Amino acid sequence: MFTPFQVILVCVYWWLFTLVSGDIQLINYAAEVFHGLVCGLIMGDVKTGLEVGATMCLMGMGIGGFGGASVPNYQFGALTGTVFAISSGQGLEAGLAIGIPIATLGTEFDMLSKMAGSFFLHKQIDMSHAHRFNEMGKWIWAWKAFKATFYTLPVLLGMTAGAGLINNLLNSIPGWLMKGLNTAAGALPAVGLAILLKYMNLKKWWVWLVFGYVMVSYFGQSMLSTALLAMIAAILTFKYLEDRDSRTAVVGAAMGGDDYDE
Amino acid sequence: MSNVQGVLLTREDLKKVLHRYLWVRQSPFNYETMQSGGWVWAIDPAMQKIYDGDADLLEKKYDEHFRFFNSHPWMNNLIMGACLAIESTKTPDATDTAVTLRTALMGPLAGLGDSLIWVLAKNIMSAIAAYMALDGSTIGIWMALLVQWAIWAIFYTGFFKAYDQGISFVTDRRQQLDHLTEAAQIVGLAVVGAMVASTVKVLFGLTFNVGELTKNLNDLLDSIFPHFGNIVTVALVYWGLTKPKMTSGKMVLIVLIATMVLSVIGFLA
Repeated sequence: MFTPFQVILVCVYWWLFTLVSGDIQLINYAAEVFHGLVCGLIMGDVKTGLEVGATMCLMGMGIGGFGGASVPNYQFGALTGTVFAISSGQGLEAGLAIGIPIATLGTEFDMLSKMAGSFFLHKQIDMSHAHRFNEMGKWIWAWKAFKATFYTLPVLLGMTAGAGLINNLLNSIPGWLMKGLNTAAGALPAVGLAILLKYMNLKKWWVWLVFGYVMVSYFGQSMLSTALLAMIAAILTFKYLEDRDSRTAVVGAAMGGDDYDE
Repeated sequence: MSNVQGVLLTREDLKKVLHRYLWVRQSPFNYETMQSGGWVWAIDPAMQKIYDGDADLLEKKYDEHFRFFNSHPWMNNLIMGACLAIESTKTPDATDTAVTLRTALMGPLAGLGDSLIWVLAKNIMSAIAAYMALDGSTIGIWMALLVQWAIWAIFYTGFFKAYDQGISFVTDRRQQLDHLTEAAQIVGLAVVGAMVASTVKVLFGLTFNVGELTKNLNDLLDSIFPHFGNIVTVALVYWGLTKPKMTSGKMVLIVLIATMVLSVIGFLA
């Protein structure tokens, strides 16, 4: 069960985060792990928080709402997953059992708040037409507050009214389902990695994919040491590209080449 | 901006705009105009100064600025700086030019921002942070955030530079950014390769008998090819994503259901 203090802290944190994070965007990298850490601190079990946050982070890897698309919200999953993983005493599996459905529902939350956005935009445009320019901001912040409340209400309800129900549910999940969820959590990062690969120039640079795999599989290196080694190669490549193109530019200028090279 | 009729915005004016904008870059996000609402509210102080508070004129100009706009929020800083530089000239078609420029830049810059900021840098740093967090360390989180804040700060100052240099700032930096994107592929692919081995976890649960010995399929495969299950899974998903009508959301559901079923029947451990 939750102490009132925990309910307030989690809800206030999530409300404030949702209020500003989409715009100011200061916590996006490893955000799921960050939520796991914060909620772990609030709930008094940082280890489980980090575990749930990190697993959610890896599952959501590569999945982003590009071009305004709505995608599963693994940050939402990390927050709720951590909170109930700790309160039910069931650890990571319970965190996944709660976090994965919530993350998936995040798609609908995103779509609904964007649909509501139209109403607030038109209020803002009305203000502009009424020459009350200073009041445009009021409607923007109203939308932000609406969205934050919309995202926080289920957390608040889950932690208060439904806390006992959810914890009982988590405690009665059959073993095979827990095992299945664990397997899925192990396989889901593959989706993100495959999406990442589609973004990259695999044809040209595939050898670096092999490099990363070999460093970890055969040489037992960590992700960080592998990344650092690759960074050296990246810096050299960057220098080479800059060098090459500045030389082409100089040659081009000397030959009186046209300006429409690129 | 040596133009006699132009209005030069001071650093203070610009700061006022940016500090307002940072809090509303994607608000109120909607399917009609996406990011343009916050944009209009943010440029209001600057526009009031440039156009001398002429409400009738501003209303018309804002109707143009309210048009559809959607790009990478950090890139928006640069686009806004360049657009304000154009508005500062106060020429009759300044707003028209600014909004046209905004529309022309949003696509390419969104592509650049998404691939560099949201895909490459974010996933490399998130993977490192998650990996370290699984070992109980929070250092990775702070490393990831420091990298994010460093890039964020570049785009913060970029707003002012884009205003000072106008459109040339965005176009001049283009090639350098392209090279950076190209070189970053190396780190990105190396990290993905490392993650195929370390963060994906797909193990086969099948066993079979060789004479009197019971052998585990996974151990056998691993002795030839470490993390064989991971490689097969990533390759299958990669192949699946090339199918028409396949989306990342569908793929998540397919993998979720398939692995749970395979786990229940004992094919996967």
